[in-house]
Parts: sequence; structure tokens; C-alpha cells
Amino acid sequence: LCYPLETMSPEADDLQDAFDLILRLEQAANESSDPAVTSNLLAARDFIAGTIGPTLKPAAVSRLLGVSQTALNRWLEKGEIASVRTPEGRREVPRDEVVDLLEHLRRLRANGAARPLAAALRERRQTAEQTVDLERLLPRRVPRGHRAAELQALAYHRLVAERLDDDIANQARRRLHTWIATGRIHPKWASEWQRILSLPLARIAKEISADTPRARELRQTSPFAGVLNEHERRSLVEAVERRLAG
Amino acid sequence: MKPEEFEHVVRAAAEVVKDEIVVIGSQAVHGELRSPPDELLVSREVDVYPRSNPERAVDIDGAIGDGSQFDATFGYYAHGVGPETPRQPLQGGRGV
Repeated sequence: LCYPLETMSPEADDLQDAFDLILRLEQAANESSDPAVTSNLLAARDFIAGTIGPTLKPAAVSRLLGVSQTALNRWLEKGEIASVRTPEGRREVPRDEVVDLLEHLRRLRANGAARPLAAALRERRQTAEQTVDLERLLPRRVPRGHRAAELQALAYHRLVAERLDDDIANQARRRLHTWIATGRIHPKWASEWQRILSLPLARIAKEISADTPRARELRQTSPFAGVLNEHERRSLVEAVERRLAG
Repeated sequence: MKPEEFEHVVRAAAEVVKDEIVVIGSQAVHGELRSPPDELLVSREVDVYPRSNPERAVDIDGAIGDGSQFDATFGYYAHGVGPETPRQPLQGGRGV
């Protein structure tokens, strides 16, 4: 793959091209069976993502998703599309949320869905309702000493473990790499996560969803943030609170 | 966590619950020192609760907690706790 650098500028109308490229690189990386090629494709993906920045203004997002800003604001208000408060105090949309939605839209459009964004958000809600099932994700009797945060992390990682694929594992590896480079994780936990993320997927799933003191400590520095959408995460947090209260 | 990141988390938490935020735990030292010790820079978490409605700490967890899009986007997060959580003897609770 070879693209001129000027197509990656986040200015003007090149944003759409940059996101198209990210999606194509992710798809190529997932289809590649050569680890070196996968690694290079993901490095290129990260480079382009870096030129966009971590968040986008709602006006840019509405253009990318092909909806009015009024419609987008409604979904942002309801929390159906994630938004974050930037350090400058603006409400913006995480870049990775946009990538996720664009990928979802591409699949739905290929299947001929009418109003694909509304359909994508409906699918998200249904997935959250079907998968956030604490009976399945947590021990029936909450062991003494488990704090709410530990239970949330346990349920979260058990859900991640169920969905774990190369894409999710690669995201976690990239995040860990960034944390190590910026000194955001203690070396002891960095090397432990490096060990875990070098394992086959089934072993990674087992390690991150174990209910042991060691695993509980490990999850406090987990690089698996952002795997669940906001709807699912909120459902999970509220469900844990209900379980502890009941 | 750098001072500007700490301030970002606290402002975002205040926005979620529309309340003053109390910070407890080791990160509360940011309220006192502009150049905190290096050990604090490794932490990604700020323990907080809303001053007027501490029970809304769960809303903070839900919006900007561990594993949230906020965490995924910026690399740090708020942990909603209860006022009964033990405080650090040196810094104590720090209202922001």
C-alpha cells in the first residue's frame, strides 16, 4: 500500500480519506497471516490515526457519518454515541469511536440497510442488553473483600475475553506500547502484560478473566480500555451496583 | 499522572455530576504540589466522589471510569469511591 502523505492531512476534506485508509489498513492487517506485515500495517494505521488526533469535533463527525448535526447531538446527549470532555473543556467524539461506527456502517451498507447509523446504534443497544448478564459474568455469591471496582473490572474483562479477537488484542498491544513509551505503567506490570499479550488468544482470555488476587491487581493496569461501547459499559457498572446493593 | 491530566479528570468528573469533586488518595497531592513526585506520574487513576451527592460516584465510574472511552482516549480515568474510603493521612481529602 502506498499513499501520498498529503492525503493524510486532517485539514479540510481529507479527513474522510484518512478514515477510509485507517479502515482499509485495519482490514488488511486482520487478513494478513504474516506477523511482520500485520505489524507494519498497524504501525501505518497508528501513524494516520495520530495525524487526526484523539478526538474530533461534532461537526466533523456529522459529515463523516453522513447525518445532520442535530441528529448527531441527539445521539451524543443520549450517550448512544460516545463523547468525551477534552482537556480544553469541549465535548468531542473519540476518534476510535468514529472508526468503530464507520466500520459498522460499512458492513450495514454492504447488506443494504436503510438508515444504517440508526441501525448500527440499535444493534449496539441489543448487544448490550444481551451480553451484560451478570449471572453469567460474575460468581453467584460475591466473595468477601471484592470491591465494586474489582467486580466491575472482572465482569468487564470476562466480557472482553468472550469477544477477544486479533483486532482487540492488537489494540491492547498498541496501547501497552504507548504506555511503556510514555512511562504510564509501572515496569513490573508492563512486563507482565507483555507476557500475557504474547500468548495465544485463548490463553489471554483465561488470564484476563481469572478471579485471583494476582489477576485483580493486574486488571488495575489493563490496556483493554474501550473494547465495550459506552452503552455496554454503563449497563455493566449499573448492574454491578445493583448486585452489591441487593 | 501529570498535573494537567489530573485537572482534566477532575473537571470531567465535575461535569458528569454537576457538583464539586472531592479527591482522595495519593493523587490528592496534586492539589498541593505543582511538581509532584515521579511515582505519581505512573498512576492512571484519580479516586473521587461528588461532595453533595456521594452516591453519584457510580455515575462518574459509568462515564469516565476504568475501561471507558475517556480512559481509552486519554489513558487516565476517575474512580468513583465513597467518602468512607480511607484517606491518606498526609494529604487527606482535597476539595476541588
